[in-house]
Amino acid sequence: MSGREFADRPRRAPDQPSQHAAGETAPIAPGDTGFGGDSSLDSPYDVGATKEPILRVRGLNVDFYVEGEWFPAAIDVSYDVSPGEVLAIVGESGSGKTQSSMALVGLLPQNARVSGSAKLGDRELVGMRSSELHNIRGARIAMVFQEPMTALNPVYTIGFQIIETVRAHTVAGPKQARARALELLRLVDMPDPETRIDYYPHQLSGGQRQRAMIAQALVLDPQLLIADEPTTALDVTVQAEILALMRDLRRRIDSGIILITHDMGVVADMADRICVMKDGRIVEAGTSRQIFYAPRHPYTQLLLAAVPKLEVGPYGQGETGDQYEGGGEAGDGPDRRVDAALGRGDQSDQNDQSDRGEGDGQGDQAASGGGEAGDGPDRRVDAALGRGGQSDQNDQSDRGEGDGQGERTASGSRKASPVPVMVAENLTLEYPRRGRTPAFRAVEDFGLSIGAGEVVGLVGESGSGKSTVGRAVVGLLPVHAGSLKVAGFELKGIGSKDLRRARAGVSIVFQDPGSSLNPRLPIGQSIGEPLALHRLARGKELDQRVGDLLEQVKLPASLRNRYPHELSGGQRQRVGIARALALRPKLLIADEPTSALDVSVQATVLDLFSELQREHQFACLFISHDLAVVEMVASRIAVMSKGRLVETGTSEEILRHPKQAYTRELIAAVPVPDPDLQAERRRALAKDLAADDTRSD
Amino acid sequence: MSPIPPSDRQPDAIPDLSGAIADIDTVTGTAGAGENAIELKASEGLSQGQIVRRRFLRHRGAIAAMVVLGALVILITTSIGWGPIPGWWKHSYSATYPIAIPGGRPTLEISLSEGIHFGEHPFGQDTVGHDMFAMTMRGAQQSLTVMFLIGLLATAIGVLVGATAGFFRGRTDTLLMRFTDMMIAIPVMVIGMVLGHWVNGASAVTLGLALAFVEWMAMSRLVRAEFLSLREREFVDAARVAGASSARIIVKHILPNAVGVIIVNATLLMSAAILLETALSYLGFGIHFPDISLGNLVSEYQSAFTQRPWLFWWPGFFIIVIALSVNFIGDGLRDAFDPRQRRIPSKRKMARAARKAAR
Repeated sequence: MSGREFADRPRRAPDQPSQHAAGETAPIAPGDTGFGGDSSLDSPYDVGATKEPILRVRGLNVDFYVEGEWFPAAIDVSYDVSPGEVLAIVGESGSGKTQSSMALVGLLPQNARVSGSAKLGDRELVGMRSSELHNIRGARIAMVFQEPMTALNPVYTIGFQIIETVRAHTVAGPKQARARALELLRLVDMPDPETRIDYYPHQLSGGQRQRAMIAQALVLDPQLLIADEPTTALDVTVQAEILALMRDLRRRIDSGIILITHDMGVVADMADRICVMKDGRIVEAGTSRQIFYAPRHPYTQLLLAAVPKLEVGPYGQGETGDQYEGGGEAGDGPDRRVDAALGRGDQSDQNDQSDRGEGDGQGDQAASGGGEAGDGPDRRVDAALGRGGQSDQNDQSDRGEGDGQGERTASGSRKASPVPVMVAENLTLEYPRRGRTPAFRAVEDFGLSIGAGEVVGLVGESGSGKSTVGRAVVGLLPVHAGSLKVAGFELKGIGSKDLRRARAGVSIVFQDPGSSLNPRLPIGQSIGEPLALHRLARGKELDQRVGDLLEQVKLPASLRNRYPHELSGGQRQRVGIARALALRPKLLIADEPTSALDVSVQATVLDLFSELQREHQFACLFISHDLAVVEMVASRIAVMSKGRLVETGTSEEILRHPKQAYTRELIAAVPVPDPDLQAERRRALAKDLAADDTRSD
Repeated sequence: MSPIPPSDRQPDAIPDLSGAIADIDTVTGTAGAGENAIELKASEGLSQGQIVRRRFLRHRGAIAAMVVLGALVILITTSIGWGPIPGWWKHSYSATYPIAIPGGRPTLEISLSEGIHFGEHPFGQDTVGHDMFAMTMRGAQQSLTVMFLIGLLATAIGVLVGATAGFFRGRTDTLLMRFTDMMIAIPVMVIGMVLGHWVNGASAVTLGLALAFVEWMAMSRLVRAEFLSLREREFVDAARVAGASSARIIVKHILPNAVGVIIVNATLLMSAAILLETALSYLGFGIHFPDISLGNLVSEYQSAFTQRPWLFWWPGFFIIVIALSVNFIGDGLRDAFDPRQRRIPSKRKMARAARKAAR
């Protein structure tokens, strides 16, 4: 599905670079470097705006009534939005970024109170009667929500929903309205709009749904489009498409866009100006370049520092800082790397490295990676060519993958550690038939081995089967065919008793810490449960162990009697990690452990994770869709797509010399939190895709 | 792929902030929860059970209903005595007494000047001279017994069937649910009559036990649905990986999370049960004369409605009060267990809070 969508893009790609060279960087008024938290009304809000702003927000406050008290959610928020401009409001959850924008359209719950001023053109939105607001919503201000599946009504076709909006606000007849709906679907590049207009939301892919929702938002050419985390629920490649669409639309319809997001990469890709919010206040505002290259407020600096940065190869030519310098001195870098790459058959190097400790290994790698990347493109191409033989071999083994790879890695790691913790060969996983729904084959012919103490990243888009693999490894899903050895137990056809014993050696950290902890149990009990069930500790000793585990994940032992809902997301995930470590597992499955967390929290959780890994030396299968996160923790990366293993290699190889087109696509789609770099990557990608296009024609 | 020369621009040096990042997390940690912090203000430092209790105690209708039902139970048990508990009321429900006021009219008098005056037969007497107060108390005792028995037993059966079907799915589920469907397809009234007839001349206990077997189906379906959704939650997977057995997962992990649905439906089931019992007794298939239930009192005296309305009224009044109270309690519990329901504060309260903040 996404492949086809992707193929649509190059058609309008060639004109993109020029557009962005002109449009991306708004001129910065001299001496105007945004304003701090002490902003007053006469601050220069209209930074670089040449046109009359369509929205002027001044001193907007939002409070919520809870238990007899008013709690502020947004305090003294002021900003302007000009036509054709993208204003990004950035902040972590709870910073009031959504509430302050919802206040504009009157979509706050009844216990909210709004004061201050927000003028759309010359009309005051704060305190407007709901009947009037009704006319403004949709007609002049439109919204795009985070989750298109829940924002679209599942029982109506998307055409019906768009037509409904058209007819609610205009006098168009049914035929005209349908024509308009089709026109809009074409505008948002919906593939095959004549057919798709009669599709129900569930028949569309995530990206198409989001396109449909954007089409619905654009029905009446709104002056202002509020996009609340429009791409958070989407895969990176789809996200890249939607962002491209929104950039394109901004030019075509000339409305102002408020982009609410926590993803600095998305911001770098889209925003002209940025407001950074913290605890309800705008702590810093300025142009995109000001915020990214000269952040003034400590919180902004912190936020930027916390974003995991992907040190990319193909499109991210510009490695930064020390790494660039490293490239200068390591002139012979590439050659050495070729050697290393060719000699990779014996993986002992790598395993030794991981034995030494993950942190060191990672540091080394990063350094050499920098050298490589800085060294200029030509030599890198050589390096890639030099490994051509190997990549062929890899292609071959794609077919009979499991065997070859399993053996290879197994033999490789035999030197370092006698038995790999996990070996999967020709692994096929199915979700069993249920009623009339036929069995669904989620993973096919998967081969991977993880040595003791090794962290392997498993990357892929949603639906690629990566979580399915994780679930199978902990025995939550039966092995359909092939072989899966975990901690010395063959999981295919394993009996319940053996499974219990096998599970003593593996554990899992789930994606959503809110859902993976039983809301009715105090967290101390949740953490202690594996110990109690395996009869390893009880009574006082159990308490002691639980206390130790909490301490290991840097939580006070006093938290043990709290319930999950009382903890923050980061704390909950620490509890999840503590529970996973309770049995001192040989292998830990981390299933997107940080994707539900804020960036700064994610940074600390990842730090903690690496630290614990170094300390306990457990092997880990780190499942994530975020290449940057995987790069931080993993020494090897496996890429999955549509249930099959696409590519495996060291982090280095995968991120800087991806052999498969899919991996390249995946890496290219990751937005980098750096506006200039991102613009360059975009151009490079467009050119690359255009080249691919002509080649395939 | 077209290589591009490395960018020569370097970002301004960003100071080492790893320490500061750690600070942020601890700060948000101590402040409660980072996200939806404001919503959580209402439930700070409380366990799930405490939150539910608090929300329930704030539901005025439910609390009033609790008080009424409590008072009723006390009145019913102590007035004529129940089992080992001695009664303070002078008359028995089975004996006949001389007619105090011609026509057997109630002696209960409520006036503003003289207060409440009970008299000899406050609820009146029938033509034979039975004391209506004692009879109503006895009827209410029987009806409450039936109600609680049906409530408890039907809940137990429903939870057992629903939990088993929902947790194990597959063939177990199909078998149990088809059986449930079959039970649902037969009108409750018909089975009730057959069972009532079967245990003819039944006491409240046997009738309650019998009726519980026709009232559990709705409960089992709801519990099954709840289990089907809860078993897919990650904490169940987590427990399974931790080595928990199916029985432990059901009892320790899923059941406590389904308790809201169960309690709420148990109360609704009880209010339906009291109506079923009265209906059956009214039709003559439940509790028979000389034993008394509210339903059979109504049925017994329906012909006397024009001449002696009080014979009809008092039992009817008690039926309504009991059924209403139970319904209100169920409603309050439903609201208390629903996490999404938020109280909308009144304008007055909001203004008061604003004034307080201004001060």
